[in-house]
Amino acid sequence: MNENVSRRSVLGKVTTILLAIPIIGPMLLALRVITDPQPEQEKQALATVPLADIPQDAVRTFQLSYTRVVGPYTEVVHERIFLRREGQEVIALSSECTHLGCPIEFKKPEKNSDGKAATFRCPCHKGVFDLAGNVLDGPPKAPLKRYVVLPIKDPKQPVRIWA
Amino acid sequence: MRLLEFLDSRLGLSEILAKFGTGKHPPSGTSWLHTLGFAALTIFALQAITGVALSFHYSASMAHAYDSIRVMERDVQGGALVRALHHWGASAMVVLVFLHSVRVFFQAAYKKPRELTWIIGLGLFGLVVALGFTGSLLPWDQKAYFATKVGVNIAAKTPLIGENIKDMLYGAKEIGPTTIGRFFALHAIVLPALLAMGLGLHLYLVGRHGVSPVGCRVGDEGAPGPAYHPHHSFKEALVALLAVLVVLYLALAHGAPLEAVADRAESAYDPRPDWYLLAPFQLLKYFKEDWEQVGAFWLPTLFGLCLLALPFVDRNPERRLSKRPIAMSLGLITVIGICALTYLGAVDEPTHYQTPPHPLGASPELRQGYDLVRRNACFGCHSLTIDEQTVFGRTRHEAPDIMDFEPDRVAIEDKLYDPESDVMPSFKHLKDSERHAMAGYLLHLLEER
Repeated sequence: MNENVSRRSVLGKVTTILLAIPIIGPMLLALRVITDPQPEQEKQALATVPLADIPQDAVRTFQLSYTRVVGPYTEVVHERIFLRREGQEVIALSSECTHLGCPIEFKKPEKNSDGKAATFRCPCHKGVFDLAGNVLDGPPKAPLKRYVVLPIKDPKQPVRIWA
Repeated sequence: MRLLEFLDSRLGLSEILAKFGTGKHPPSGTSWLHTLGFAALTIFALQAITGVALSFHYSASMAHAYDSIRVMERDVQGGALVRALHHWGASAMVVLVFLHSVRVFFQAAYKKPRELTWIIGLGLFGLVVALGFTGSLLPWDQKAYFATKVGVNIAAKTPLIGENIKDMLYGAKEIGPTTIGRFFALHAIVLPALLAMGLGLHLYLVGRHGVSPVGCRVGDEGAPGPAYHPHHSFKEALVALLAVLVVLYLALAHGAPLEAVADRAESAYDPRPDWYLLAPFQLLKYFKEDWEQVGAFWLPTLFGLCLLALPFVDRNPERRLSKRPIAMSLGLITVIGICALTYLGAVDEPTHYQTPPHPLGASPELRQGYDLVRRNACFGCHSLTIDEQTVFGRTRHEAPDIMDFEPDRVAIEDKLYDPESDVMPSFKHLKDSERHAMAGYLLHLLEER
């Protein structure tokens, strides 16, 4: 009698396991497939801007275009960057806020605000960056991303920017 | 009739209904307030029906998503209405589910033995919001692109697995062509399936434990009122119909918004989430630097956990509000807090302007002109008034309306090269062909008039 009961309970457990395998197995597989992103090629962008187009002590909005290849997709991405010139040095800053990725705006100082400098501002959560990309106020923690500007050897040659 | 009798004898539907639904006598206090859940269920059915119709025309690819919606709205009979119903239905769902849970809270209907009904209900609320969030990416317009980016970046603040969540949602390192398919799979398959299963369980539990009696102590199931059907079911049907009619009115009066096609290079776009996500959006503004994760993750999570634990923490057997001072004040503070944050988020006016949708089936040159006009922020100063009412661009504009331009391509090109103005920037640095394309698009707008 007891033997029968225990046999039945063992059989019940085995049945549960048997049923679980065809459900949990595919679920694990599906989870793996979902969490593995498609391969992405290293993005490469090289933009050139004539140095004369970047005004001294001003901020120029520039559009960086590059091709991004993810899995089977080829996407042409246009990105907005800010260019600024300090003497012969050119700084290229991303326009993406480091808080949550909103596009930041260049804000000139108000007419009557004595001494206040121009800044970059994020419209989403009021992050403020200075012209070098450092955080001045608001939720962002990291400074704005900087693009590599190849050293300028000849001012007549266009400025080259790497993304 | 004999067919019905045959089916019923074989299926036993009337037995099930008698046990779980129509034959029951809900407690005498059951009132109009108890119709909100059913109305939400009806709107869910509306969402399912309109959603299926939309999916027959929608293309979940970055290259075609936006166009597939534009063409459906323009050329398919009833296409625009179906999308508008689906859009407003989503908002109605959130409102009804919110009011339903507020009702359950203040009538203490979550107390023993209905703890699980409450917990599953919270899960359903989360699914409704998740459906709204995933759905808003699918049109692939500016709002879709940026609101999704911000939302996913908030999810990425989750400790330990944040980046994994982001990778899983994007399907790549950044938002792009892989993302849209994933969001479609979530919006059209995964989340509706979970919602349907959760709803089944929720309804089963409502049937099993019955409607919670109003104003009775825990354990006292109150005096039964009239039969559910047709006494209470009549009220439910009426409110459900009213809800659908309100959605229909909003759909007919306002349509579904569609901004310009997603373009991350467009100058000065100010992302705003859908209204029901404004509260957490506004909350984030108050948390700076190292406190950021508190606002993005810990506070919302803590709030969710408190709600989940509510039926187990709140051991007070009373259901009358006057005998639940702590629960009532906490509940009031929460409801007022959520409403206030939503209000503050709504009045914090976005600075972004809406740009006109791209010209359908346009030539590559026209498309190029459209992209350039947007990326160079022409609409940042100039407005565009169509039919004397639809205004794109900055509404408080300083520059002439585009409709007042001289319809002369060469004149526009010259103006772009040298504006002869202190205010308007020159577009000298663009190629001739680019200025030509911009002028072509502006001319196209003038000729559309």
